[in-house]
This record gives sequence, C-alpha cells and structure tokens, in this order.
Amino acid sequence: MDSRKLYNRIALLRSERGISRKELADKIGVNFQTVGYLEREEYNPSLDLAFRISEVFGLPVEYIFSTSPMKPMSQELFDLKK
Amino acid sequence: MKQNEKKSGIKTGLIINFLSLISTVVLFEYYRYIDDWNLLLIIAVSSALFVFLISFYLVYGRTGAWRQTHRPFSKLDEREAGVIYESLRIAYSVFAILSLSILLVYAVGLWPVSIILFAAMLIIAHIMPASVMLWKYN
Repeated sequence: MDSRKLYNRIALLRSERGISRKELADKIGVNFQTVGYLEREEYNPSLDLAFRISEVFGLPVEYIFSTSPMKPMSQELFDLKK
Repeated sequence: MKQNEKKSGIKTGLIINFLSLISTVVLFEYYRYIDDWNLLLIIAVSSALFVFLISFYLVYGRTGAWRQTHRPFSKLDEREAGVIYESLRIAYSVFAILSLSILLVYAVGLWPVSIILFAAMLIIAHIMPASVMLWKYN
C-alpha cells in the first residue's frame, strides 16, 4: 500500500523557535539528516515520531502535520481574524 | 548542483570499485589459465587491487556508508532503519542472482571455483548493502 504524502510545518516552527536541525534531532531522538528529510516532506514520520515532534513544539499534531498542503501562516491568521 | 555532482561522483566511484574487483578476479583467473606470472600481469593485478582499495575507502569510508550499514539496528532511527532494511532486501536479491549466475557459468564451463573468486564473492556480499544504499538513496 502506497502511503499518502504528509505535509508539515516543521521547518517553519523550527526557524520560528530558532533551533537548529541538530538540536531538534537530539530532542526527538533521530539523526539530524532525518529532520532534513521531514522538512522537505520526503519522509513520513511514524505516529510516535509525529507525537514527539508535537510535544517539542507544544502544539497539537494536526497543526503540524496534514494530508493536504498547508496554508501559509499569514493566510491562517487572516482567516482567524475573519 | 553541487549535490548532484556529489551523487554522480559516488555512483562513478561505485562503478569503479566493482570494475576493479572484477578486474582483479579476471586477472587472477587469467593467471590460473596461463599458469605463469609475468611483470605485466603483476602490474595489472597490483593496479586493479590498488584502485579497488582506494575506491573502497573513498566510496564506503569517506561517505560513512560502511559505518551506517554496520551499525546495530537499535542505534538507527526509524528512517535509517527503513533505508537499511530496503538496501539489505535488494542486496540479498542481487547477490543471490549474481552468485547463482556465476556458479552456473562455472558449472557449464566445468571450471573449478577458485579461492580468489570465493573471496571476491564474500567481499561483494559484504559491500552490496552499502552499494545499494548509496546508489538508491545517496
């Protein structure tokens, strides 16, 4: 069974918090190259890894991962204001 | 651009490594056939072995592929474990087909299997997972 492509906001959240790939990798217990693969959406994480990432950023998992392309943050804020 | 150059460099290195190993075996088999060492043959075997060792170091050592494929599974993260598993699966199939084909050719030709060929097959079995990993996943 082919898995669906998962979209995520890891790169955005990481740069927002000013943490390096290595720091994030150490926090979630993976190789820093895996963080690169996740950010480029070339690898779908397991449920366990997705939850570990959401715990590091303190956000719900559905805010970080999605099966459809994610809207830009500015669009999200605009929609919220409306 | 630089990444693509690096990828094609690794693939070229892999091809050189395998060709030098094959050349070494062919030259030894040739020696067995003519049963006489001469200077040209010694230079050819030494060169093939030298190229094999250098390309082995550059392709598997410098890239970290050797270390990666020999790390215990418990030390790999889930993506790495997936990559190693897939590389081992492909390497096993390729090696099985390759060794059966070689044995078939030797059986048809009624040639005895030499210790050099046996050693080369062991080396191929050992480097095949790292080769597949480098070729497929870079």
